[in-house]
Amino acid sequence: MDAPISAKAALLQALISGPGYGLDLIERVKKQTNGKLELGQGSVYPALRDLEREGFLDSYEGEPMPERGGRPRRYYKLNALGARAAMEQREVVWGVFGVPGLEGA
Amino acid sequence: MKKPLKRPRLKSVKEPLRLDGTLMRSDAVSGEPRSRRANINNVRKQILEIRRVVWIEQEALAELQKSGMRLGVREQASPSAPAQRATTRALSAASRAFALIEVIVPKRIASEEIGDALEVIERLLIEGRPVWQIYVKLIATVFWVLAHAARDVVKGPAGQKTPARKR
Repeated sequence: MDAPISAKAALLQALISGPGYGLDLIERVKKQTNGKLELGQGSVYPALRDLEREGFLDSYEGEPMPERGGRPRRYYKLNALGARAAMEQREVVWGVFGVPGLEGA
Repeated sequence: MKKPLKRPRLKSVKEPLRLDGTLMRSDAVSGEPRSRRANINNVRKQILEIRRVVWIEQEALAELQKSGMRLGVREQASPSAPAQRATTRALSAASRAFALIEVIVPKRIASEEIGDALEVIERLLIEGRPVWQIYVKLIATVFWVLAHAARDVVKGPAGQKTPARKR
């Protein structure tokens, strides 16, 4: 069966809890969905770049790290537009799946 | 106890550089004619690249030595020297392949995706996973980095913002 939400939607939700980099976001999505949704290397980076292009995310480089061969991590964070989109999306998903206590909210 | 590896400076080289059989310090470059300065700077860039690759390999070797304690424990039960050699070969192949594709893909993709892949490979090593998993990760990374670089060519580099879609 297809994943219940797209990679972009999952990443927006994962970024609500704070900035993160590719590998960290893959882990976050896996943890938040109890391992039900596992993003791959092939989908997470294009989705992050698309979200940045569309203006939902900002990104910045961290410090170069020896375990990455001197390469820095690239962190992504929600901007105001992204945060609003993430919250709207959450409400839509809750509405569709009928989270108790939210009907008619 | 071994001294930790020192990361090479990536921005400037103060040591003498050998060019056309002569030694030259970086502060002497400014007095040179423009065409010669370009040559010197090219050589300097190449030296920096070589140093970086060597540094990656040294780091990988240091990681291997760190996990040597665990390998050493296994050695008591069964000789694992071939396994250790295979791991070294895999790490060396990874660093060479990554250094190679880094030349042809945009810097942002290279540093983001290859860096993350190196972190995963390090985790695989720490967890004592088999060497074939390192090769699988290496091949998958090379494939995806090239695919994403091609996608970036089509869609435009990341960081250029397009209007957000209405939701």
